[in-house]
Amino acid sequence: MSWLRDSEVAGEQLLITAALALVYLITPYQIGVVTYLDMRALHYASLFLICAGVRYAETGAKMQATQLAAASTVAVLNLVYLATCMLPQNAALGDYRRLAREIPADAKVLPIDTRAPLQGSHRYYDPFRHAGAYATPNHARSRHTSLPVICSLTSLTSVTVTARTRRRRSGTWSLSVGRVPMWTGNEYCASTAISW
Amino acid sequence: MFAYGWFCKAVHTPSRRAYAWFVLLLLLSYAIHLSALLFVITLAGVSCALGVLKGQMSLKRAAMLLLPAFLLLLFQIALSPGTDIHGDYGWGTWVSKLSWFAFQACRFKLAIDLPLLMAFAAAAAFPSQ
Repeated sequence: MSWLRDSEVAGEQLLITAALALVYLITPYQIGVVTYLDMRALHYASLFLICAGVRYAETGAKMQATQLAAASTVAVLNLVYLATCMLPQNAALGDYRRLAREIPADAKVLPIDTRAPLQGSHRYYDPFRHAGAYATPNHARSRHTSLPVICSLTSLTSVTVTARTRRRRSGTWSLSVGRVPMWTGNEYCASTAISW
Repeated sequence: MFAYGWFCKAVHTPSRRAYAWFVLLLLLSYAIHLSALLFVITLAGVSCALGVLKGQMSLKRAAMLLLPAFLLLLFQIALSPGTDIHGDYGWGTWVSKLSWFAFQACRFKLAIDLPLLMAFAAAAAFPSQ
């Protein structure tokens, strides 16, 4: 056990990171209708990886400088990467909002996102799926403005929806709750619209 | 994480107050979500195992520290309050497990996401000595 006694300063944090990765591997992805159960361990694994880096940085000034340079490089690369991907999306959503402003009051519009999800095999990022929902409350000029309910539930025939509604006359916000029938499809379903 | 923080304090000091806070926060986190208990057992278990193997902690002390968490786990297994443990389990495949390993990093383009994740791990875990 001498290697353990002489183990590095961040050995505990790295072992915890490895243990959490193991928890991810042995945990089921799904129990009943609850999914993504295994993913939860990975967030903590990342956190303890950062803790290991912090422990390393505590060992001396040289190590601190190395850590700072490495972390800054990764952070700057990440920000540049985010900017190259998200700024075009932001511009596209701005175009969408400008278009939404042109829609006459009380018009019936069903927003449909026709863009393919990014990294389609995993469907982890689909930024424009709810763009219509963003635009509707922003530009609602009538209390009769409606918002179709889009969701990804597969086995429900109805859902209770909580919507924040602005009463134009009183100028206050209130909550309206209703049970909305849905059309169930293979993966996605759209309800009849709820009053906004 | 707060429970684990007090656990660490209880490990490094003979403070009964720290131990009491650990047990209290463990109960609270368990009441909020079962996964918190599993994570605390993982974190505290690794810390205790390492402490015992390094000779910094007695087996009895490690057992005392971990006892509340394992009692709660036994309680959960025996009574499964509020949890349908008989629901359908799905582990996916080895391929899906491995491909989702970088789930947190996957954002726009996998060819860039993965090297960035590896750069992050390298920056944190493998600084030059």
